[in-house]
Parts: sequence; structure tokens; C-alpha cells
Amino acid sequence: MTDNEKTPDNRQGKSDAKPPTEGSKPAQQPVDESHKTILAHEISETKVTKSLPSQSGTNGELMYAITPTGEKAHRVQYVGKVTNIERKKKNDYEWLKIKCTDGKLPATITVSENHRSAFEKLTSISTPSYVAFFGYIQTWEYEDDTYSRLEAMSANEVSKQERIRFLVNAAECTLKRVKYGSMNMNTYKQHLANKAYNQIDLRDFADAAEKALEQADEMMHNTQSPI
Amino acid sequence: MKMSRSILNKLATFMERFKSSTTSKNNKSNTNNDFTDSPPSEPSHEPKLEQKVKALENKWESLGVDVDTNKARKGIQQLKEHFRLSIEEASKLYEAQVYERNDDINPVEERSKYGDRLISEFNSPEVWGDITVTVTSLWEAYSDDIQDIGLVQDVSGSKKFTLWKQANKQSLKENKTYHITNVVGKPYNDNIEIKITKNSVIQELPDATPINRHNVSSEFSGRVVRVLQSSGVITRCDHTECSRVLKDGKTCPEHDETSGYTDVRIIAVVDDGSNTCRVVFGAKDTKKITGRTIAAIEQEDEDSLHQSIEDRLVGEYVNLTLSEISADTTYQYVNSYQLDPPIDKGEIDRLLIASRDIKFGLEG
Repeated sequence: MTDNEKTPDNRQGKSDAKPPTEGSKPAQQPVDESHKTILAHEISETKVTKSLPSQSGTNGELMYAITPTGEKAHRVQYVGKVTNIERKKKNDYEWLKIKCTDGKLPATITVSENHRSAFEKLTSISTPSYVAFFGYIQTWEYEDDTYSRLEAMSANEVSKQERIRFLVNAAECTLKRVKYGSMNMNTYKQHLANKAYNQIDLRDFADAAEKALEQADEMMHNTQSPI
Repeated sequence: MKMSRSILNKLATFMERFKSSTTSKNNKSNTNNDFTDSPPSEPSHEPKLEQKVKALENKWESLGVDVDTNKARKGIQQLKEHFRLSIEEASKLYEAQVYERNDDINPVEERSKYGDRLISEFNSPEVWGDITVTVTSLWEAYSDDIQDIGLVQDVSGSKKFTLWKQANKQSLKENKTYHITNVVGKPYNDNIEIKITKNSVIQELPDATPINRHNVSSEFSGRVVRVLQSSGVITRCDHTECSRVLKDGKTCPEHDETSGYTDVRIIAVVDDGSNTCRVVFGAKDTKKITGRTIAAIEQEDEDSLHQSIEDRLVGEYVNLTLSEISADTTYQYVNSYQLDPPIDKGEIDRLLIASRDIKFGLEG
């Protein structure tokens, strides 16, 4: 927040905008990357991620995934039902491996100790519970196959209602992508996906969205159980 | 097909208008179903390609433009097929390309068709329109090529504008109200500013009173993804009509070292999956969200306060009514909010039908 921010009561008073001095440029406003709403099935089926090399030559932080449905996602959001949390350790480096169930495929989520707040929060929660994750998709290769997971940068426990809402939102987004993909309307993103994947079966994703909606519907009716 | 950046921008605008027009058509016949509609098809009343080319030929002749009609026919056809546009839309786009290539043409009539717009509508590049605004402040130009630079305001808000000397227009005066035609939104440092073009007509309205910005509110819904560290207790300048946040609790950017009063706020990033918004919850909402009084918040440790706000907000879906804080910030003030709004059961049913339709379409 800029320090010259004003209270709402004074918003219509004198303008905050200052004339720029000669040669100066207006102050740059922060830009937040949007988190794409994505189902577990799409996370699991994503096989292509790109990272931009930083100035030092190593992999830069800015990384994006290309989903088979034609979404270019730098950051993703996912609200899942956590069924299992495993604490892993290798060479003094700790991380959590989390399993979330979903309509069609389960999602694998990892939280490294680098994201301390999310790491601590998740070590203390009991399972099963609903958790909102915000992070990015990571892929790795093992024995000629590519696997993917969501690396969470932040997380928080949420209510059952939030899980239902997420399923509805994510299904809607997936259906839009599938629809545009089938109509070749999302030309640039679709071009990226077509280039990245040999074969894309969009029916699979429409199916995953339908299953998510059925699950949401079932959860709406089952008001007795909190989980 | 090689196209310049501005032509591509025009295409984006056309596609946007095209999508919204197809959506509104669908809304009339279908209960707001974005999925079950078929690909856009050519309406039967649309002019045939030949008719359109002939009309364009006559128009260009009157403007004194020498354009090969065969080339135009082929160009429109290519745009139609490549971008799945109707003939009407493809011809408009082709026409825009022609004007782009011929700087000496003055298609004022064409661009005036967008009509009157509010300042707040200039929220993406290449939005054209006519505005009625009051010049609220004029700044010192940072370049010799700039004639006037400053802020213009109407009921919907205020925006930075630039009038370049190249446009060859009269100078604008502070606190005067003008009707300006054919202005365009141009991106500058992630913000959109208004550019007065050489095709603009500036008309001063001598009897008009300065236009004040009304408290125009907008709505936004999404999930809270982050709570900023600058949330919590702050000190504001206590000068009349100032209330800026004091740096280190004692220095106001306007009034230097001064005394202040304590206030609380929450700044959060809300994300709807395609756009983000930085929002500021005022003292009243902060008290409600944290469930504490201002005195209790002041006494609490900064880290534990931040943690408790995060626990309450992150991951939650929220409906917001927002208003602009000032022209030079992208932060928006929360007028009202609804955490965890109810889920519409009808929405699930609608999407289920849509998903089955899409699956059926893919199988067919």
C-alpha cells in the first residue's frame, strides 16, 4: 500500500495524484498473478512446465504449466479434501506429501519447509479436512514418464462449503477450457497445448468436471456430515 | 498474415465485442448458458461479401483511398475464416487495418460510432470513445513533445490523460469542462491512460460546472489468496482532509513530521481465477473480521495478529462491493463484503447439463 493512501471518508477530497517531476515516471503499481482454478485431474494430467532462466543462468522462479486443456498457469488454486499427510525428510530437508481425493484422479500436493507458514499449518491439522492450496504445478520425469504435483506456497483450512464452491468454480473453468478447445477458439493457448501434447482427449476433462459437479451436488445434499 | 501490434490490439477488441454480442444473443434464448451454445454462425440477414466489398469501395472512394477491391475481398475472407468472424465483423476489422496502414485517412466518423463513454470504461487498451470531463489538474510535462498532461475526471472516476503536440490541438485549462471525441485508452506502466488523438475534437463547455466524481462502486468476487504484511495497526496524519499513512508513525508525505491517530486495516489480494484485486478493509470491517476491538488489536503482537487474519481469510470466497481510493493506486476500498456467500444449487444443475452437452458434442 502506498503511504499516501487515504481513508474512505476522505476519498473524494483533494486528489492524491501528484504532478510528476520532470523526467520522472508514475510509481509502478504492484501486479499480482492470478491463480487459475483447476481440478485435480488437470493437475495430474499436466506434463509440461516451463521456467524462465534468471540472470544468473539458473532456473528462474517464474514458472508456468501448460495444461492439456490449454491453460497457461503460473499459479493455481486448489481446494481439496486432505486424506493423508506424510512427513518426508532427505539430507536435512523436510517436506510434506499430501494426498487429496477428487472426483476422478487424486492430486498430489507437496509443501516444502521453505514455505514455513503453510508447512507449520499443515503439520498441525487433522485428517480428513478441507484445505485451500495456492501454489504452482511442478513436473518431474522418472523412468520415461512425467509426473506432476502442486507445490503449495500457502495453505489454509477451510469449510466444507468452500470445497463445494471450489468444485463448482473449477468445473465451470474446466468446461470453458474444454469448450473453447473443442471449438479452437482459444487459439494461442490451444496452440501451446497442441504443441506440448501429442494427443489430447478433451472428453476426459469434461468427464472430470461432471464428476466434480456430481460430488458437489452430493455434498450439498449431505448437510449432516461436516466432512 | 503479418499484422502490427496495434492491429492485433484491434483484433482483441473486436473479439471481445464479438464474444459479448454472441453472449447477449445467447442470453436471450438460453438461460445464461455459456456452454450449450453452438459455434457462432452467420446470421441470415448479414450482408453478402460482395455487397460489403461494394459498400466499402464506395466509402473509400469518397475518402479518397485507393484500395484494391480484389485484395479487400480476399483479406475479408481470410479474416473471416482465420478468426471465425462474421462477414460484418471481418470487414470492420479489415477496414481498421486499412486505416492503420494509411495514416492520412481521417475516419473520424468511424471512431465516433463508439459514442459517449465514462472514464471508468477505459479499462483496457484500444478502447475508443467520446468523453465529457473536467480537467482537475495539469502537470508539468516531462517531455517537450507533450502539450498537456494531467488528470481528467467525470462521475465515474479520474484518469491520467496525455495530449501530444503532434495532435495539433488547443491547450486544456484546469477546472474547465470539455467534450472530447475520439479518445483512446493506452497502456502505460500497467495502467490505462487516456490519449487525445489527432482525430479528436475538443469542445469547451463554458457554462458547465466542474464534474465531480460520484462514489461509483464496482463488484468483485473471488477467493482471498494473500493478506499483506501492511495489514494491522497504522498511524494516519491528523491534518484536515489528509489522513495519509504516516511513515514510521511520524512523517506524512504531504505535511512532513506531524502527529497522527491510530487506525487499523486489512489489505488482501482477492483472486477470481483470471483477475486479481488488492482490497483494503477499513477499521469497522477489520474489527468484525478479527472479532476484536481496536484497543485489543493495538495490544496484540504484529505476527500473531497477521496469523489470525490469515487463518480467518485465506482461502475464503468473498463477494465485495468496492470503490476506488484514488487515481494513482490500484488498491480498492471495500464498501461491503460477504464472506462465504450461499451457493446456488441451480448453478450446479446448469453446469451438469452443460457438461453433458459438451461431452455429447465431443463424442459426436
